[in-house]
Amino acid sequence: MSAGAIFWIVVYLISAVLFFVVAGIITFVGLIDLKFLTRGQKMQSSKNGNS
Amino acid sequence: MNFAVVDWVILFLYLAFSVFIGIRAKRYVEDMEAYFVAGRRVRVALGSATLIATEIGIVTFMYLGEIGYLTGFSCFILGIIGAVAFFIIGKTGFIVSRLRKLKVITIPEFYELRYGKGVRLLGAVILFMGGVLNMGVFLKFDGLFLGEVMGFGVSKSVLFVIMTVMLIIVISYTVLGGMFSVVITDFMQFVVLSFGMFITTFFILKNVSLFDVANAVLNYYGEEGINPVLNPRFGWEFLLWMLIASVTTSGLWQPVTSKSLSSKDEIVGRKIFTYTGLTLAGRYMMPMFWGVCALSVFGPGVNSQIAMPKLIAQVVPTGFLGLLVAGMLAASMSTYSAYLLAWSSVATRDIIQLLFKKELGERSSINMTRVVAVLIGLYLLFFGLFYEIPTTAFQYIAVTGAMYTSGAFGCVAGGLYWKRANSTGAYVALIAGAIGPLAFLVLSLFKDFIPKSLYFLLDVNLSGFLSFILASIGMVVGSILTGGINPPKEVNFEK
Repeated sequence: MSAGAIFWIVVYLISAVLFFVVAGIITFVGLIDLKFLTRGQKMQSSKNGNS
Repeated sequence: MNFAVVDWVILFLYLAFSVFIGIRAKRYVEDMEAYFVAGRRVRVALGSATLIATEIGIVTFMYLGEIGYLTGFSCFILGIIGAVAFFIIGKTGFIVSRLRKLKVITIPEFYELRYGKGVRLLGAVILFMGGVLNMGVFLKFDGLFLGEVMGFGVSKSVLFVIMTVMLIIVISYTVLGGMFSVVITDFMQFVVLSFGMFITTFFILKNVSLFDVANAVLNYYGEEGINPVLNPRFGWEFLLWMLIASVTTSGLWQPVTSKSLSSKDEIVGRKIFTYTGLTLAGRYMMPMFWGVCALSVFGPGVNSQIAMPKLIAQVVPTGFLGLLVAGMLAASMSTYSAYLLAWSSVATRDIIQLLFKKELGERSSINMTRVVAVLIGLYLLFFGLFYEIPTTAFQYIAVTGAMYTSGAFGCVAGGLYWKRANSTGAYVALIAGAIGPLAFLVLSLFKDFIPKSLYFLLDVNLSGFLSFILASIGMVVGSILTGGINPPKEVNFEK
């Protein structure tokens, strides 16, 4: 196997692992953000309804 | 057919759930800002998930897989270039921070603020044309992927049915819920598509050895499969063009920029780019690697567009295929919804409203956007079925994107960072940026009738690269020459 091929395979493996690790973190924190977004908008809607 | 009952059940449940969630988001749409930019309340993780999901679709897997199959490892450099571009934007806030501060909804709105109504109209027309031409091939590639993986084949009638069903599903929730639907469904789709990518990578690595893959690249392509500068499909012009295009596209491509414009503030907008940058190399290289694996399994004689899905159909077992297709459909639906919303909002707010010369009310503006989204959907169906692209899908998408981004780069970067930029420079930049890619697309249709001396115009890499240079020169020369008679408008970014 040539050095160039080994280099790209290592780069590929690191990038793939990084993708899944960041995706995992984003999924977890994103759920909290989603609650913030929908709850905030609900409050906004009810405020507008009351005024 | 490769699909078993369990695969169909998974797929059906997923699609039904997606549409249900997307349509439910309609109750959050109170006003125009809620419809177009989700009330500007999106935080970092959610913004990153939705941006990643938007920029991954079946078409992305297809063109990245195709280029991996055709060029070996040398295409992996594109993943690194993409990641570097997102980091640059994330760290510097180049373009996106100032646009977010101005609270515009679409980029042509900035043209009016900085240059005037005429520039806004021309910029919007070019953006809309480049955008819908760019999106025109998405549905077809989705149909090719799904037809091959599910085992239906890729005949025109099969493509028509798959494409129509996908369109109906996406249009139904995008049209009703706007950016709220896009953000909420994107998040769900991000989770499902990450899982689908994991399954695919797992089964491919289980069936194909890394040693065989490396040998296949060296046997079939030699040094060209390892070194992107030596590869005849790339070369230094292409790589330089990609680096410039990646930095500019990331900040200027309406579906991407709209995510930063929807963010809570400009710091969140920048962080979204940095976190997305961390995943970018992986999201490019994984499908490219699947394409390289297809080269190792089938050799170089297979249709490059369907080699990668053919491999997936072969290595992913029944039961997992349903999950995989759900993941891939998730990827595509999130892309369509964001793109449909982006182009229909540009058409409504920046073209139709300007041509009719009267302010549309909030309700009419939202309803008009819905009608345009449906019309774009119909165009996608027929364009996808009947148009044959003249180059690889990757390069077609890059050159149609350049039609808008090269001129927009001159106008937006000049307008934001150069006080002397004026409307003449903006007109010249927009026209000069669109000419190269447009010439390539039109001349490709008549290539048998073109004299040999004009063959250089059929070089996709050259036309894309030149468009950026011409647009930048156009902005500088046009502004300097006419600065005396056409003084620049001033915009206060710090208010």
